[in-house]
Amino acid sequence: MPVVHGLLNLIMLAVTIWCYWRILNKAGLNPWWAYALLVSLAIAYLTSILQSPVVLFAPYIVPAVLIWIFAYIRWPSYEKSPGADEPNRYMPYQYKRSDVAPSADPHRTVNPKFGDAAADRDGRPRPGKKQ
Amino acid sequence: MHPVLLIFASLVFALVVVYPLMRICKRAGLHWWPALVVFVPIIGPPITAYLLALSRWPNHPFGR
Repeated sequence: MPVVHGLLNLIMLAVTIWCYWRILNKAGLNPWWAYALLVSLAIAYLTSILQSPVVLFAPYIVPAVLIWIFAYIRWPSYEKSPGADEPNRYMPYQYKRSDVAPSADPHRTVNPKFGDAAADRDGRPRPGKKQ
Repeated sequence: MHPVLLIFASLVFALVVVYPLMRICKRAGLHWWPALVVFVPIIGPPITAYLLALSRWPNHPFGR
């Protein structure tokens, strides 16, 4: 019977770790923190060996601390980088890079002997071309 | 160990974590009442984690 009880506890711990993994993933945090719940297993084991009365609360100490920390820290996936939607000097070219020739990239040097249709179409000055 | 003691420990844990769980639900855009499931002895905390893990968070930027 104690073996079955231990197995059930392990299954419950595995399910809880999987749930914590998903929750941490959603919040944009490192999901490996879910494995901190294994520490509670070690604490419960140690307190049971020492026959300490703390064994009653041992499995709950680490989850309680994790939940309190998680409730108050910032969640990275909920934050947008500042100024992401504001216009910037890279924006006019960003959405065009994937569908035009590589020479359309303003950071590349284009051989002036070859025509740059994308630059001509957009009205951008070409490096090396006299206006 | 006596089952009543286990239930007592579970209820103490529920009292400690119910407020941050409500806050987590609120930040995720969910109702606050799923946090109360934690008061179900023994199986309540995993069920709460299960609810949070598998529900869609309305406040999430990517709707996850």
